[in-house]
Amino acid sequence: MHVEFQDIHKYYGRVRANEGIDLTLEPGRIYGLLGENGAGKSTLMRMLAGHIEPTRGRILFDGKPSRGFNPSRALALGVGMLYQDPLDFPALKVWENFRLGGTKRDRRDTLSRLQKLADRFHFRLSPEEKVGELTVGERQQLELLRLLDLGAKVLILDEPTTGISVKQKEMLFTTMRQLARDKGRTIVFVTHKLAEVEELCQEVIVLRRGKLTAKLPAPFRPDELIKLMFGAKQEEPEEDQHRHNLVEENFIQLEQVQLLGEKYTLRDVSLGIRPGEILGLAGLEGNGQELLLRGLAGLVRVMKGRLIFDGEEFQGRPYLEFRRSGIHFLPAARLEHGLFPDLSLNEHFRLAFPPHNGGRHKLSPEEGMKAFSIQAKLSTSARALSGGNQQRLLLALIPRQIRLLLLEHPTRGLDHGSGQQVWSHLRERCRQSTALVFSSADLDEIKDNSHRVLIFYNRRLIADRPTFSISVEEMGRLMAGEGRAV
Amino acid sequence: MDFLALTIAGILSAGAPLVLATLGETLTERAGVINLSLDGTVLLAAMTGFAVALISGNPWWGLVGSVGVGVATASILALVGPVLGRSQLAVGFILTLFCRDLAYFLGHPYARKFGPELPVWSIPGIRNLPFIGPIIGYQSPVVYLSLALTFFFWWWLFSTRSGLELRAVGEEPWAAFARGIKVQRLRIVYTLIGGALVGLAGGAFSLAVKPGWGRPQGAEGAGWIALAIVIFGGWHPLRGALGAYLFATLQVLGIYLQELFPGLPAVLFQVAPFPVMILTLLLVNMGRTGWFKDLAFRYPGLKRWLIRWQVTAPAALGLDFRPEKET
Repeated sequence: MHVEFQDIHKYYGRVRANEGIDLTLEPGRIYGLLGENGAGKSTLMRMLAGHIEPTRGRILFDGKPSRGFNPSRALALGVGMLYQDPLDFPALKVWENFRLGGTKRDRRDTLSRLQKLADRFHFRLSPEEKVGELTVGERQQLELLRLLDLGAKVLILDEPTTGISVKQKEMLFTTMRQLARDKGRTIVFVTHKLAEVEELCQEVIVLRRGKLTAKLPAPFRPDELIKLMFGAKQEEPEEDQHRHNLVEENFIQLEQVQLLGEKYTLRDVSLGIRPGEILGLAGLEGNGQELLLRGLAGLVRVMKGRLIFDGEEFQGRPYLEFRRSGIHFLPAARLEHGLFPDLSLNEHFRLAFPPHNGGRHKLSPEEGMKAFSIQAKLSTSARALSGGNQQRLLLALIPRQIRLLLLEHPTRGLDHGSGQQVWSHLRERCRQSTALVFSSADLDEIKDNSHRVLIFYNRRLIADRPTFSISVEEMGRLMAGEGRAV
Repeated sequence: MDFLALTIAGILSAGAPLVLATLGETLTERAGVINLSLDGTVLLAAMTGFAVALISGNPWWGLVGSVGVGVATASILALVGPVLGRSQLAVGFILTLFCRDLAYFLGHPYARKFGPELPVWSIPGIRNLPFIGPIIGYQSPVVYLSLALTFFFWWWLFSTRSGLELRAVGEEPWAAFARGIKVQRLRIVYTLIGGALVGLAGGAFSLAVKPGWGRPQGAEGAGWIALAIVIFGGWHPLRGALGAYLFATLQVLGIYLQELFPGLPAVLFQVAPFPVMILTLLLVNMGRTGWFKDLAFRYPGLKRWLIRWQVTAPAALGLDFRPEKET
C-alpha cells in the first residue's frame, strides 16, 4: 500500500511532537525510522496506526484520505503496529490473544490458523500458555502473526529488538525481509540503533525534534546519520579502566544463595562484591538477573544460603533495613516503580531529601536539576518527563553516600547521548567507592562499563569473569547456552 | 436421608438470590467496572418487586419490576463511572445508602402485608426420584434460574467470542481498543446486565426465598456478602456460585446448631457465617504471603494444591478508560 503523510503536525499543549512532516512510503520496502528519544518517531507512527489524530495535516492511503480514524479502522485499511511494550492481554491464553479482534472463527479454526502461521515463520508458541508467561520476544512474535493474519499491508515495528535475544532478532529480521520481498508489505522499523538500520533497512527516515531531517536510501554512512539525528557530532565514550583495584575486600558476600521469585527460583549463587566495583549482568530476560538484583535489594526472599553485608547476615531482613544500610535499587519500570507519576519534580526532591535532615544530604531541587541536567521545570509531573529525564531524576534522587547501587537496564529507551551522561555519572559514583551491579540487554554496554561480567543461562549463574577476559561474542554464546562456561 | 435432601434443597433455595447477585457482579467486574451499590439495590429491588406484585396481583410482574430497579441503579453507575469517568466507588457507595433508605421509605405502606409469591415449580419425572426429587424436583423458579444462569455464564465467559471480549475489556482496555473492541459500550452493557441480575436477586428474596416486605426484610447484608463472594470466587461464575452456596450452607447450619446448643445466644449463629467468610477469603489469598512461600517451598505438594485457589483480579478493575486520552 502507498502511504502519504501530508504536512503532519501534532502538538501536545505547547510541545510540538511533529511539525510539518511530508513523507511517502512505498510497498515492498523496509524503512528505518531513526531519531533520538523524543524526536517524534512514536508520535508519527501512532498517527499512522490510528491511535492519535494529527493536529493538522492528513494521511493518504493509496491516495485516499482517512476520516474518523481509529486503530480498528487503521487495521481494516491494513496498518498494523507492533508496540514497544506489547499491547496484548497477559492474563489470557495465547490462542485467545490471537483470536481477539481477529477474523470470526471458532476455537478449532483459530488454533489451526495460528499453528499454520507459526510454522511458516518457525515460531514456537504453545496456544494454551498464558501470554504473561511468555518472553517479550515471543509476545512480539504472537502479535506479528496476529497482524499478518489480519492482512496488515503496512507493518510498524516500534523498537522491536529491546528485550529479545540475538537469535530472536535474526529470526525477526529474516521474517521482515521475507514479508517485504515476497508479499510486498511496507515495513517501518522504528529504532535508535544505527547498526540495526544498516543491517535491515533499504531506506532511512531521520527525525529530529519533531521535524523530518532526511530520507536516504542505503547504503548509509553512520557518521552522517548521527549528525542528522543529533545535530552536532557526538563525543566518543570515554575509555574506562577495565581492571578494578583488587586490593579491597569484598563487603558483600553471597553464599549458595537461593532466591525465590514469582515464576522461578535462582539457585546456588555465590559471589563477592568489592567497593567501587562494577558488575554487569548479562542474560536473556527471565534467566535470573532480575532476581539477583531484587535479592540484593532485599525485595526477594532468600530461601537458602547466606547473604552477608559488612559481616552481618542480611537474609530475611526487611527491605527498609537494606535501604538504610546504603543499598539502592533502580528498577527498569522507572515511572511505575521508581517515581510517583503524578508528583512534581520538586515534590520528588523534597521526599528524597527532607529539609530537616540535618543538612547533611541537603541538595536543593534547583542544584539537583542543574547537576543532572534535567530538562524540565520543577513543577512538571514525573509522568510528563521523557525517558532520559526520568532516569536522570532517579539518579539525582539517590543519596550521596550509598554503598551499593543496583540498576536494571539503566539506559533502556535512552538515546546515545543520555546513555553516556548516565554512565559518566555512574562511573563518578564508583570512584567514590560505591559498588554497582547492573543488568542490560545491550552487551556492548556491559563490555564498555563493567569490571566483571556475570552471565545467566537457564536460570543459573553460569559465569563470573573479568570483563577484559571476555569478548561480546563470547558473552552472546554463553547467554545462548553455547560454549563452555567457566 | 430425606432430612439431608431437604437440607440441600434449603441451601439451594437460600443460596439462589446470592448466586444471582454474585453472577451479576462477576460480569460487571469482569468488564472492569465495580458496582458497589449491590446491597442497596437488592433491597430496593426486593421492595419494588413485592409492591408491584401486590398491586398487580401477579408475582411475575413483580420480578420484572425488580429487574427494572436493578437496571436503573446500574445505569446511574454506568453514567457516572464509564461514561463520565468519575469515581465508580464513590457513586456505588452513595447508591447503596440511597437505595436502602429509599426502599424503607417507599416500602413503608407495603410492610408486613400478605402478598403474592412466585409459584413452586415441580418437574415431572424428577420430583418422584428418590433423594434427587426432594432436592431439585420442586423448587422456586428462581432456584432453577440461578442454576441455569451459573452454567450459562460460565459457558459464555470462557467459550464464546463475546465472553472473550468481555474479559479482554476488563484486563487491558487499551489493547482491546486497539483491536477494534468497543470498550465503553461493552462496559456499559455489562454494567446493566449485572444490574439486572442484582435486581433479580432482590426479587428472588421478596417473592420467593424470604417472601414479603418489612424492616428488616432479611436481605440486608446480602449485597455486601455477594461482593465478597465475587472475590472469593476469583471472578469465575462456577466458583462464585460455590461460594454463595457455601455461605448459604453456613447460614442453614447456624439454624441447626442453634437447636443443638440452645444455651448459646442466637446472635452467635446468625453472625458466625461472616467471620467464616473472612477466614475463607484469607485462606484463598494467602499464597502471596512470605511465610506461605516458605511453607510451600518446604512442602511442594501444598503449593500445587493451593495454586488452583490463587485468584487475580481483572487487571483494569475499577480503572477509567478514555480513548481520547493518551497514556
